[in-house]
Amino acid sequence: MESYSFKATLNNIKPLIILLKAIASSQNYNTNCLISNYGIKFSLQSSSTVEARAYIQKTYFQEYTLEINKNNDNQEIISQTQEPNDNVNIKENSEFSNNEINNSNKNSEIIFSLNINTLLDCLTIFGGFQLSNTNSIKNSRNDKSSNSDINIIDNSKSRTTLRMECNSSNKRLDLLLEDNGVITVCKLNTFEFNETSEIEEMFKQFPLINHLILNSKWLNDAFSTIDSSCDEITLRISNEIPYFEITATNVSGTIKIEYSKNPEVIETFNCKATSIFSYNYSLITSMFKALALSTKTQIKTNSKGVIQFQFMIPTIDTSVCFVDYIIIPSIE
Amino acid sequence: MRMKAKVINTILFTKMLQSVEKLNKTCVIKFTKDKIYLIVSKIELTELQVWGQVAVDLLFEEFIIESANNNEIWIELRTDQVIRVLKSAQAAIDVYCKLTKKTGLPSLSFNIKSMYRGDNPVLLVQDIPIRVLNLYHINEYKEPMVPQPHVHILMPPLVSVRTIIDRMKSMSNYLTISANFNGEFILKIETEAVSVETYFKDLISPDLNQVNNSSQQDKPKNQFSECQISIIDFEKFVHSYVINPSSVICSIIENFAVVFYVYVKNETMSYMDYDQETRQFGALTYYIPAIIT
Repeated sequence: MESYSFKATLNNIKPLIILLKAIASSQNYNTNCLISNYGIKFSLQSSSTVEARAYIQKTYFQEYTLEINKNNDNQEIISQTQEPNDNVNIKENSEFSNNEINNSNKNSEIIFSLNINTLLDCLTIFGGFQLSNTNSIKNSRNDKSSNSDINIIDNSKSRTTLRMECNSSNKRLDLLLEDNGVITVCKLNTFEFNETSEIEEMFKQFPLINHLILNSKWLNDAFSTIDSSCDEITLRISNEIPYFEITATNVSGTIKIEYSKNPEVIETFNCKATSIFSYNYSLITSMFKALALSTKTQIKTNSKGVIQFQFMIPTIDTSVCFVDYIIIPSIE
Repeated sequence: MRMKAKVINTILFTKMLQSVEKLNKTCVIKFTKDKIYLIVSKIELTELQVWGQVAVDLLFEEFIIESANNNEIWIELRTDQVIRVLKSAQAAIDVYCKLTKKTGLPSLSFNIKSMYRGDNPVLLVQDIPIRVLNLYHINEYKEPMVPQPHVHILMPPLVSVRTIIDRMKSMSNYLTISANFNGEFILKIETEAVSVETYFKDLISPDLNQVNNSSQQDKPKNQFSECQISIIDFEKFVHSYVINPSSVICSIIENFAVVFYVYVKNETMSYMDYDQETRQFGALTYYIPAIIT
């Protein structure tokens, strides 16, 4: 069994924190982490019917290396040749770098699970980024169509940098954070990766019938109008008017929100067949944080009604990262 | 027994009380000719104690005190009530306080004169019920004696420490504090799930004018002394940031206690009266016992 070691540095931890906060919940669920050559994926299954995933691409990091650990013999050899013998060192180095190219193949990955709230506590040790709902704090109106009602309050006075290290053989994630000369070292013990992700399977197994991309603000507004006392939300997507409709019922009555195909609202609209599916309201609420942070939402439904909401969240400058939620419909 | 004074620095008085407000419902104030003492001890579920003192001149003018007990008066009162009264007096022109009896019960009475809308004087009287401590009760309050510390160091700014502790406390109940004479200070927690250590460096080791005893001289500068305490106790001490202290000194006595000296800074008084030697206008001392696990 091969073991991998991972090292990465991040000059600004804000995107990572935003991403994790978007999917974290107050309950301490084990969150799966998958470190690959594409980046890091966190996935959290908060019930048997909802799975949340957050992705941070390798390009965010200033340094990102994932390589196979040489077996023990070779490692001993390397540690012995720390002498001031230039020839030997150079040769050793070139061998090492050749191996590096071979070792970081596309299949390299480190997997484990940990408590996302503990990870967030460590990352925010020098001050957090509050995701608050206050409308009194206005974002500067730049060309970003960021109409989200959640504004990010930056509590840290200066930039915190992060260095992550992880070795698949010692089951530990080490974080080294620095802020203004003060250093914090966190060592988190990790657990077994939760192999089963039936929810993702249920989404992939069946053919996609609908696909639309809309401006998050419209979706956010819709969900804000729906009262939290509703049990279910029904989504109807079809090729006839109304193209996209959200319905919710509670004791006081029913609310129906209809969207036209106006490209200002719905950027992309692909509908192969009419779909009407209902989802448990309490499950939908788990994605509100991510929705509010995002600028665009992509919705995909498969023939069984398993729905994927993918949120595009702006981070620094023009960069974005993604969070998605897969939700199983409630049984009729 | 008599006590009367004109309160000239309600803000400082308020801040000192706010530092300790969360520790306990009541606090003890001891009035003497030269100093005002603030004592919070006998707190439920913890052995933490706070003993503060401030020169009378910093808080009061026209101060009169008389008592059969060596001209000392000890009172116990609700901290939140005094704070509320002092806050209402912040914009006042004159504030006088005195010990009185209202409806037969001893109180600390405040006369607050303010101006309403420029011209009209308004006189507000606020009475706080108090308990005057008798000799028997006074003897229950003894400032903790601590041995010579193994190390002392000037703390980094409390506001920075505050955010760090806020995170650490959700991960562990115990905190290990260590420091050395090389200006290094470490906060450390360790549980089964995670270990977190925060290193501060380039701090100052103050010269406390203590007699150099062998235990301090022999110790190499790099060697750390440490002590484990309750993280909640530490958090309570960190709350003293509200006072905006001029400096905070941490003293570690291994396996015994950690003592923090929070020095009060007076922003309103002119620096001409500043005592350069001791750099003190007053201080709050937090005694936190070690927890051995």
